[in-house]
Amino acid sequence: MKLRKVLLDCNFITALLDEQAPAHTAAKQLYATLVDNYQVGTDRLYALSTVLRDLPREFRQSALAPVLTIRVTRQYRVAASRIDAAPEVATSLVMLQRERIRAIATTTHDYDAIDVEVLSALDGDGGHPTFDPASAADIDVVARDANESDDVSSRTALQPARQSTGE
Amino acid sequence: MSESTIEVPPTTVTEASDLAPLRWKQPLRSVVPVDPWSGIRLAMFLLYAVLYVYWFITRGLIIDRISVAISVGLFIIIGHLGRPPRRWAWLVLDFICYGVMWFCYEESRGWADRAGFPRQVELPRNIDRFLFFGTDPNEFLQKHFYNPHTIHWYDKVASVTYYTHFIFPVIALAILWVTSHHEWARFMKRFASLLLVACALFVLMPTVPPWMASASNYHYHALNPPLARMTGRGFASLGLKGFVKAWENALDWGNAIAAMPSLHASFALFVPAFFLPRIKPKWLKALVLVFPLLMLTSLVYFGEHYVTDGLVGWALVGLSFLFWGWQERYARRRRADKARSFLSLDAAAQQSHESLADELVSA
Repeated sequence: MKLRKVLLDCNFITALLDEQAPAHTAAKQLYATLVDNYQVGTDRLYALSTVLRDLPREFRQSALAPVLTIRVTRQYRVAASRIDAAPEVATSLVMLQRERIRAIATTTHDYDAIDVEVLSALDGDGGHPTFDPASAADIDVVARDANESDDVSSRTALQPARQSTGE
Repeated sequence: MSESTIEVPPTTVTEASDLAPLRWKQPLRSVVPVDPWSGIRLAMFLLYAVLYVYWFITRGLIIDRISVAISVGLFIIIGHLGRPPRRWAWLVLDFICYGVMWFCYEESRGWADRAGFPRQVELPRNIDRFLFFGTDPNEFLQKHFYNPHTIHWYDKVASVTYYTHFIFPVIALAILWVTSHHEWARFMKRFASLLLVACALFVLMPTVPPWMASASNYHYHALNPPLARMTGRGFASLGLKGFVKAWENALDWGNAIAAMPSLHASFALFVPAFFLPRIKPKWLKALVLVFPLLMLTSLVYFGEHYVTDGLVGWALVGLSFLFWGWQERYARRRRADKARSFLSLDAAAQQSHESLADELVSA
């Protein structure tokens, strides 16, 4: 039996929480399937601490009871700041890579161009614009070059970061 | 754990994604900056492996608890280089739990001596005789296969199998510790439960091993003639003199009157059983499950354990897995039910199925 790790991204959790969100119903339907899979042990669900900390306690403990927390620490935020994407998307990408998670539940097109399994809960409007990794790949080349010197500050200086996740 | 998988259907297919051209998907690692510590960790692991092998060849296998703890500790420290401080805090806590577990195990010898429960000499032997229609498996194997003047290939295989007991569980634990704390916790729950019950049995039912029960200097005379104890012979023939010496020292530390259950047999089943769900090819699953059988046969051949000791050890492994499997399923169901009731997910799932059915009908 293969275990799948699934990261619930910020937009997905927001859609679950907000009953007025356009993708609320779709998110609930996808989450129902994920919870079924969780119960039989085929899916393990994760969410980032930066997302969970802002949620109402009752929602976290009840609706997200099956979800494990991934702590987003400084080094991950630093890595995320070097990706040319929205902070929450960049952080999710970093944590997907560092925690070897290969599936993401989302309500956006942000991850469509990335080689991960996207479990989409989009509403009719098509969600948010797609994150284009091409520019991020350029940044990665710079980051790898700078990696030789192993100097974090020089890397951030070489390529202006968009902004940190703001934790 | 159920084998069934529920497929995740795309809940809605948007117009945008329908019209979008097929794009080459970019690997995640080319988007996310490289972790500068990953190369350092890899290099350190390689260095560790080289040093471990060098130590093994020149000085012998590390088997006493303190040395094992140090070697495992080094491995785990390397695995945590560059990790966040919180992970280090967890590591310290984990290591304390791990140390307490082994301390209790070692102390069980003293508890067994103080408790003074009667030593079991004939009970396991009689069960073995019942299971094998009056034959003592230990005597039978040594009579037909053991030659004091010749070391056969199977002596070496049995000896190597016996020796894996000192590294396989530790390696499995260390790798899980470094790669997945969640899986490490699952492993440790089962492992610690097994050790706890085994220690209780060592105290309540101190069982004399066959080699001791048959040895003339111990005056039990439960088996006749005396069994040869040649566990290290195969290793000596492979040129691992250092290991044999270290192994004899380690025996002085251990509780000799603790044959029931056999932890050698237990661990030989435990590690494959834990990783069995991840092994796909059936032939490989079958091959992996041959290992516990090989271990038990070796133990009986060497006179270290009765067959009954091994069977009890396997039963405890089974019980440990059953109990924790049930507990984990229960916890998952409880959490899933919480989520379902809070979000009314059953209704959402029903709605999803109905809409899918409608689409199928209209198609």
